[in-house]
Amino acid sequence: MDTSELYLGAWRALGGSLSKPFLLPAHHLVTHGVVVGMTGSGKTGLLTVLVEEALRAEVPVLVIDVKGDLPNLLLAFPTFAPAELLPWAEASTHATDRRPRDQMAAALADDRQRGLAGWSIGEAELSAFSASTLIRVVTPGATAGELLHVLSSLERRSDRWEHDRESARAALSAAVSLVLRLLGRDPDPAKSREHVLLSVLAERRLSMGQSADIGALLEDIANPPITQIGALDIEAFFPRRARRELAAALNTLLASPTFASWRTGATLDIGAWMTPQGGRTPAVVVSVAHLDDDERALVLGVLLEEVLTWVRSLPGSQRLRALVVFDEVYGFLPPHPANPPTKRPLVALMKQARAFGVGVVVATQNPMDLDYRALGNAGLWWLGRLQTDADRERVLDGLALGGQGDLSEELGLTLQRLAPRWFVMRDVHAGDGATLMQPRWAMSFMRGPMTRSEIQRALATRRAAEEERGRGMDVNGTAAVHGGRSA
Amino acid sequence: MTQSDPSQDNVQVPRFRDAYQSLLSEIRAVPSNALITINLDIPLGVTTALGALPEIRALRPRVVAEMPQLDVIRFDKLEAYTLAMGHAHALYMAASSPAEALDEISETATKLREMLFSDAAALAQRNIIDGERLKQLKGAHGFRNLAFDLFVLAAMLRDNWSKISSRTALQLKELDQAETLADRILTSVGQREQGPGVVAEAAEIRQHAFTLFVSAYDHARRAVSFLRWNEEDVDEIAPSLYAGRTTGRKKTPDTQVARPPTAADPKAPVGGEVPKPAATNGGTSAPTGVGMPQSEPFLSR
Repeated sequence: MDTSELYLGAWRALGGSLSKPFLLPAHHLVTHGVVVGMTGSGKTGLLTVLVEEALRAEVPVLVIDVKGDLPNLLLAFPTFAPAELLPWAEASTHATDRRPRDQMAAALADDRQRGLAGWSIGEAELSAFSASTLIRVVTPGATAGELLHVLSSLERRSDRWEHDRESARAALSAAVSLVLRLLGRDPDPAKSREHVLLSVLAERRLSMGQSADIGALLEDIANPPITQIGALDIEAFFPRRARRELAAALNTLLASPTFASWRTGATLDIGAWMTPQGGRTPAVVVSVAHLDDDERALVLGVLLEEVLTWVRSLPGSQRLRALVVFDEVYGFLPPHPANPPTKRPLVALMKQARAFGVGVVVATQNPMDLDYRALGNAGLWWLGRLQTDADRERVLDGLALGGQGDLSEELGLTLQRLAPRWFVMRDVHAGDGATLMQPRWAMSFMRGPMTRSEIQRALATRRAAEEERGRGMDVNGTAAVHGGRSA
Repeated sequence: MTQSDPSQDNVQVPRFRDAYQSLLSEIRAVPSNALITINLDIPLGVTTALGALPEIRALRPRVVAEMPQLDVIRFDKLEAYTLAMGHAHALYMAASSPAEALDEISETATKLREMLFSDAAALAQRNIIDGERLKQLKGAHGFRNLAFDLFVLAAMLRDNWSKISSRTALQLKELDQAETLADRILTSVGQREQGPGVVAEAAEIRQHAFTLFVSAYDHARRAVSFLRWNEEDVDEIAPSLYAGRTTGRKKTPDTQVARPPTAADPKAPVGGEVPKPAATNGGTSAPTGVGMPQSEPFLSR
């Protein structure tokens, strides 16, 4: 297969009756994409296929997973052996299904094989995909997946302070907001004097090449190395007693085992994440389904600032060199005047990432709460079944804002009647007009939202399988048909 | 015939105005970032919603039993939101329309009054309904009298609907229309008498009311869609408010509603090339159905 094209499924003309295989040129994703569809419309399946095909085209992918679905990428089993599906059988069948687990697994394996065969995907393709890709799941603040040092930009000095102070400052601000949120204090950089104090002290240290970890900042809070903040004397801005209280709270946080989980793990280094490992194309799934709404917004704000900084460091390219997929973007890219910490970097990515060959695909089941001006640049739109008239009208109005032409009222009726797993697609690269598009079956077993323990189980199974493959054996203990490479 | 204020007579307070007044604080409280742009014909939408209410309400026991997460309070308030919408629209039209618009409304209202009176009189003559209330009518001269008569006739016919529905060509939506027009007339007259309306405030309140109305109708329609999923008759029970924006073609099960692209032949969405078939593995023949190639892209009716 031509690796510069992504086999996403099938397409047909509006009003047509015959579907044909749909191969999307990878570079079309450089102009970004938007997927909109209600629950059950097939949106997550489409995203999963997009990620799989990007990986097959050797394009690394960063996946932001809010609902817990995209760790299903861990379940792209390389064979149709029922044993692979045994741990997932009960949870994946109806509650009234009383068959023994092995029978359920066999039935699921058979469905998977027949479904993928319908899309001309067999074990050869599954095995090749498994061997050539590296799926990682990062779970900030939780040990289900890989831990992440979310406060890297605060506690680990970066050379950005020399050549890109603005983005370094933005990343620092996001990290300080997260700390304050964990303290239960106001994380808003525009309103919180705690934020101002911590940011000023941390920036001073980082600018001088010193570490700004919490312990060092505690000392500076108690005995400030500065006399003024803004136009005010520091005692007037933040009196000693209040500083002592803040220091005490920070110390308690520092001692907390929970806080340790935010400062443990890999450095937030997007460039390293997107680099092939052992010849395998990486997909890093940052799953935040386990966090509450505020924590999610702050963690993802930190993450997206880092993504933006990394993108700006790349040379220009028209080729798709990386893909960022965000499922579900509701609440993170709202219309004006809402301004969560994720909005600024997301808007910037939608505007600027194209020049560096980085595509962004966002998905939502709630089209009412989107900043359509930010999405107006998106070159690819997939519109799935939407539940309400208001949702359909909102999306069609939003498309018109992007200057992509008037979509007819009949298109609105088309959306109303769409079956699950069908989308109306518009691709600016393919000219005017819309077509119908149907994603193929995903190679990943679509288990649905995964709990933390399920993520742990899937990662453990994958590690065991890779170790077996490394020894030339498959999961059943027989000689492997397709030998894998060790990681 | 002399003009009189209907509120001085023993007539049921116009329900549109009543609903509006009772919901005004809630209408005003809709946050600006939640507002929906007005994008449909409001009188038509109000009439549609009022017409659908009986069948929607008939599903309420199932909503309570089968959809515990649904906001039943909002479901129950659909009628109030609809009536309030009608009145907010009337206020806006009164504030923003030129004086001649009242004459246009009254012309339509007069014809409707004649039709309702004719049917009511015929039914009263045959003792199917009590004709006493017809004596309250004031005649079509004067805007207030016209509005009053419409309210009385609509209420009279609605109260006896179970007895007369099989004996008259009238439809319930015509009674709704009569009330809507009467409300608009009274509102316009009231605005005219008070001086120039405050257009901006009326527009803002109308948009707020529209947001509540459309959201509540969508909420109810979603419930109907869920409960009637297998029967697929949501459009018959709770028609789309936006149906009036189409070409007006009646949809049949075989109607292809999507227009093909303007190109002579459907163009491959990948730069004009014929897409290559994916590699085959000679495996089992694929089942048909959801998610499989050549499956039907539209829900069947």
